[in-house]
Amino acid sequence: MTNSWLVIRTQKSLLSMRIDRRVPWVLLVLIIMTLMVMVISIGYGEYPIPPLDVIKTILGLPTNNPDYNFVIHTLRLPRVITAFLVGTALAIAGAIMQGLTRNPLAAPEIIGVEAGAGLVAVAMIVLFPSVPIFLLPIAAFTGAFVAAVLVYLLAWENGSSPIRLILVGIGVGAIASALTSVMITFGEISDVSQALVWLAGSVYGRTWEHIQALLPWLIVFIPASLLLARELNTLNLGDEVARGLGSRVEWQRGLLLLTCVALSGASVATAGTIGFVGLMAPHLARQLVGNAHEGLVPTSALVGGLIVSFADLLGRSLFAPIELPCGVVTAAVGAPYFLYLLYRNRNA
Amino acid sequence: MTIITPINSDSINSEPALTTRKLTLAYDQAIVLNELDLAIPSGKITALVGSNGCGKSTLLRGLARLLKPVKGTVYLDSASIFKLSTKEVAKRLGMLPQSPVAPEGLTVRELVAQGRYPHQGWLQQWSEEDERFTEQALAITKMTELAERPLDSLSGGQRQRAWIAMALAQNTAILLLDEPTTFLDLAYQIEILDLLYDLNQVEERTIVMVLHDLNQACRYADFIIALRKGQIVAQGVPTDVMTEGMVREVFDVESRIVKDPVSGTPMCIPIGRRSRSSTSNN
Amino acid sequence: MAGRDLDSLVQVLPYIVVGLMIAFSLGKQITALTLGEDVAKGLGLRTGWVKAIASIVVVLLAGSAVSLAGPIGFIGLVVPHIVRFWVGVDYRWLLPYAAIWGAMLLSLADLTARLIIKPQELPVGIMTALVGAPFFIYLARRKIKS
Repeated sequence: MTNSWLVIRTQKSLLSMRIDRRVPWVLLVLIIMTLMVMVISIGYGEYPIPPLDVIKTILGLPTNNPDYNFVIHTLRLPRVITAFLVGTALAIAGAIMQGLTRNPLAAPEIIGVEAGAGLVAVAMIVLFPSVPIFLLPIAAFTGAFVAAVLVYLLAWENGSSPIRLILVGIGVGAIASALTSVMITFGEISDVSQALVWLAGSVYGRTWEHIQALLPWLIVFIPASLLLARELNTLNLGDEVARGLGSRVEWQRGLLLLTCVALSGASVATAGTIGFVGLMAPHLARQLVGNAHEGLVPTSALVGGLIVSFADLLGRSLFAPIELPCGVVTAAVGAPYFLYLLYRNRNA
Repeated sequence: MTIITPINSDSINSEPALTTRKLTLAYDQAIVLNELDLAIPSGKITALVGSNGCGKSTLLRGLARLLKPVKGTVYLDSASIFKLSTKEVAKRLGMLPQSPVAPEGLTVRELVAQGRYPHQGWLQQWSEEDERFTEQALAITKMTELAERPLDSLSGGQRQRAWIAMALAQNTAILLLDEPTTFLDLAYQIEILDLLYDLNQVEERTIVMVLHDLNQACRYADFIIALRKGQIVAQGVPTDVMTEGMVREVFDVESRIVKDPVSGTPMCIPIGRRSRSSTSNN
Repeated sequence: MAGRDLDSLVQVLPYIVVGLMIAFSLGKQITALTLGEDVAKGLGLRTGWVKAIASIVVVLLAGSAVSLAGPIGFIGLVVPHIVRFWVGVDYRWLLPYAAIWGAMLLSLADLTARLIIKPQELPVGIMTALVGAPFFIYLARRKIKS
């Protein structure tokens, strides 16, 4: 009867769930595609490595070139993994935001996360150039969090309405961007250019330490997002219906926002602002597996990971030896896509 | 001024499904309903009628614990609705707001399956029972064939049926509906009301709905509550409540009450200014 | 705003004047449009034309402003809201009032931008965002009830 669902139930009916029939296949294909992009990306560069040797080296098998080990494990693998993880986190944050606001054009940017992170990071680079660079992600994460909390509190009035969140987010984002511009206008030119590179969003030179800092957030909040996916389905029907169905709307929305902010904040802190991933990935995922968030969240995650991995590869290869930050690549693809979505949604 | 018709004890004999005590509801300080005492009879269809802005939708939201009262409370089977967990309430009481909007692309079956939310947990996300009630709700509302279609591709009547199916899948003893027939053409109105009537007759569900059309209220409801400016003007069985005096007081309209030629229930024919000279004018 | 001379103003002035004139003469039509496309058509408005001309006016005015002073945020968003408090929703009044208010606010913002960190000068676009955004948040809180 339920031909579009795949139903999973254990024998003693301890556990039961359903997902869209397309989800497992789509996930499998996405994983294969991502791995292929990763292998190509690791092999690509001034010092090319054949794909087979890339795989061998990662698996710890011997190759006939001892340098491969260093180039792959120290230089290229962390960068590629960072790109994938950041994309994953941004995409989940976007899927949550679009579900929460019931607005297909929403993205994590709109609650001021990226503007907040940008402001604090740029302020740190410009005002305290002597502060060690490894503190930058922490500062950016703090900025993201403060901005998001500010938006949430300012939008609160007898409850948090999604539309107020969007508008207040735009306002807070504008203030943060204006202050960032002030920093850039008056800062030392060398500091400013460093800040601008960071703002553009790049995974250049990311190391295992960066991944170590990013990973705890993902380990906590990606499972959280999968558990909360069901709640998104309910909230998607509107506050009134969700409340009628017995959902504790404000509580669930708070948890989901927290997840969204943690994931996008952590990725902005790691790789700067890589725009449009949070917008594009959930959309593409929706085309692939439909609306139910149990399948949509993991699919978005992999699509996002694939997009950023691919964008990084493109950024490195398009104008080689000049390297484009992957944030520029995603924006170049994402902005027209956004316009297309606007056009398609014009009557909605 | 306020006439409170005593409840006819012959027709309403069981324990009330929902009771309010001094229920006071307000939006931003502005009080809409003041100290309302009422009892919704169990296993019956109750219609809330009244002019625009009289507070009938507010009352329905209050009964469904969607609006927190300033004072007083609502009792669900003698327990205060605000003392129960919201999921507990949702297992016993379903609410369909006025013209809800579904996200783009959502299919009918996905929507109806959402009705199972209060019965699910982190481990039990889609039990056999969930599946059975979902399919049953689709069947009752004759939506099975349209189950895979996205909601936005359906007609108004089909969409409304899908939402009602969602409320049915929730499998609650009490069902609250806010103007389930607005924006529907006559055929769909009758279809929805017949569906609700069958649900009441076959499954003995308690149904409370806001209705605009007095004559439909009389025909389908066992019990009518008429409101005016946040006060109950009359409550009781249709034959007791529907009087020319009530219509005058609630709607400010002169009318004649006659017998509905089809169902025998009272029927209100508004007089208006034009009807006095109707014969002179073709 | 710094270092703009009269020459560049003279170059752009014709566009601004034409833009303003068309805008002010469209007041009645735009007011009708705010009632919705169908109602406007019912009132005998050729909505397609009005929208096309209004878009051209927007391009003329916004384009000249940007070419003179670079992108300046929030004036376009906030001023119409402020003016609506005084004159309501009739665009015959709203448009000229908005023009005057916009001019006043931007002059004020420019003055503040020059005074606030003397002898340096803040870009006026930043100033308008810093003043405009809080007001925007205030509006969002006040106007949108759940």
